[in-house]
Amino acid sequence: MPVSGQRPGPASVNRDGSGNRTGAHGEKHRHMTLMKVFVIAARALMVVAAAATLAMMLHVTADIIWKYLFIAPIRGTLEVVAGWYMVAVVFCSIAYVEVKEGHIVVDLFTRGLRPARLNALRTFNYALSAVYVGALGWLALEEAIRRTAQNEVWETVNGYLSIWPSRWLVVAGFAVLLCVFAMRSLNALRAARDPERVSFAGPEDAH
Amino acid sequence: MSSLQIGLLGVVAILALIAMRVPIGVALGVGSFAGIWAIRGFDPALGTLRSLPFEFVSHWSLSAIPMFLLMSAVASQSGISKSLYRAARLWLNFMPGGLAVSTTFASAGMAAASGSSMATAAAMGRLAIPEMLRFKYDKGLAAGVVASAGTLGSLIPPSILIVLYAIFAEVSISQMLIAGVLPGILTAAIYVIMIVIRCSITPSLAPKIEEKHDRAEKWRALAEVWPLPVLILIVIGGIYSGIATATEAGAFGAAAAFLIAFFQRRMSWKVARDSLVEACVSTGLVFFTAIGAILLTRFMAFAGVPFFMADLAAPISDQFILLVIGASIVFIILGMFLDPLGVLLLSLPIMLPLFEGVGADMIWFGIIVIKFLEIGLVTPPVGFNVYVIKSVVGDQIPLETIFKGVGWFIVCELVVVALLVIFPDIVLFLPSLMQ
Repeated sequence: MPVSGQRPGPASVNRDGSGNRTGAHGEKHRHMTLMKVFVIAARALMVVAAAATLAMMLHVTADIIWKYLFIAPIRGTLEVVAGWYMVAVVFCSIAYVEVKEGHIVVDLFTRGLRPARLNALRTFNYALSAVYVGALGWLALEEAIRRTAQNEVWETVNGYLSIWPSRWLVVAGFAVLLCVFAMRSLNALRAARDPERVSFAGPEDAH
Repeated sequence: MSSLQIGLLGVVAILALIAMRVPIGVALGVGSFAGIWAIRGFDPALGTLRSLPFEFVSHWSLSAIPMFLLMSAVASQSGISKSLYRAARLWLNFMPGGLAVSTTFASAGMAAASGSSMATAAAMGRLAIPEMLRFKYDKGLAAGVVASAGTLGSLIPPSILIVLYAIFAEVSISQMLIAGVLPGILTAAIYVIMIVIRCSITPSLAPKIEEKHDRAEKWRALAEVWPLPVLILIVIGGIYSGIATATEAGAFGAAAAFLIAFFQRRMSWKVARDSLVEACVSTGLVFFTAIGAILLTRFMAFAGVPFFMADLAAPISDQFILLVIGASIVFIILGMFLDPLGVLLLSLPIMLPLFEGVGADMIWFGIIVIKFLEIGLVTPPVGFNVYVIKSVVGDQIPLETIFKGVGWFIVCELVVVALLVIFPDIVLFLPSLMQ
């Protein structure tokens, strides 16, 4: 349900292709390389999310078929779906959502703002998002360390299911999303400071 | 400052953040965290934030959402909507406004394979609007019918919004999904009646198309849409009969959609990959926002807002209609600015205790909420389905014409809501048979 028509944009855009000072050019280059790394990380996580979605579909379908044809459901399906697949599908896709579509925003009240003010607002918004996601990620990391040390398991019909590995997917998802938000905030800050040379390259600018 | 004051101030702060174009999920999360911190202190607030995302997501019943989204993505990526529209067109062309009527039927059919209104509107818009414009249909009618009929996607199962409502309202997901069937059919029927009456009175709205198709061609077109009844049988039949839970029906439906597309030679590596990515992106989007909404629910509970709302409703509990009208005004206003997911997740923590307090049936209330979310999809200034249609038609139809065309359908929606309020059994009949 994307709202503000977001599409993937280049990591950083500088329409002034020549005449940059070496320092600024180098900074821009580093910036783009960093963003590329985060985009690759988000894509890698998306592969995990897609695989988990496919696995969930096949696992649950097999469970139904086994349940009704052979009166023998696959034990532990419920726990595997909830504890592994769901966690992977959701947390491994949230960073890619921001890279590809952008999380839901309402732009109705800010459409009339001048570019410099809009970019200042974007800097704040992305920074706030980064802080929020960073806090969620940090707390998830503490949880993951604690649960791993405890070897967290869920009890199932036929034994125990290790859950602690999926705690690390939460950390990975929030960490990459934090990086993407932080880069977007930096992009917006650069654009706010120097609107002549840098145009903002957030997801909502590409259409 | 009392907890209640902090609660109400928090809601205002969240709305302000949303208006400042902070992502809705972040606005809900940050505002709620700050509110819980103010009421309970820093450590309890941190404790809520620590455990909530994992606990909320690792839930069997919520897994229906990615499965419904996957089924919908496969169905739309593999081109089922094209066959559906063609079949509806060949069979219904004889009616006044035949193409518009066909679009309504095809959208209702597509809604049964799709969990999202905007996906239904986008798929149908690309097919139906160029056809209607080719035959000189009124532009407002052509765009209006697609934008409005697309909203059936959030009512006819599978529906992501209905699953989310059921989770928040703590009602049976299966019953809630089945409750959407009759209101969805009723809405489509009233749309068709309105189109036929308008086009009969003013034939220039939809010039008669002189096309002859032999019976064999019509049956061939109908035979091509056989996957749809199969998917409907799996999802709605499975849930209604109690054979499958919503997740099982969704997973089986998605697997069936893959197989059908494969046997119809519509499946390719690209279709499979795009469907999976589309389902994951939509899932990530929904859950990131929903995590914020769960935080808001906790914040509201700590602030005592549910009790406050229940107390507020007590004096007018015997004037139930007044309460429904009040809520509908709030939903319509929110729907003018926010997308349906935002409206649903922002309003439920506050609205649910109000209606629970006066003893309303939560399944019935859920369908009323979904109806208002549908209306919000087509009302200015931010009617998301209208924008979807605008992106499909480009410069051919101005935005104002689309909004004007949608006006007639909004009247139909209000008639349906009135019928659902007067005759709640339209909603409750099918779920009552499941108990």
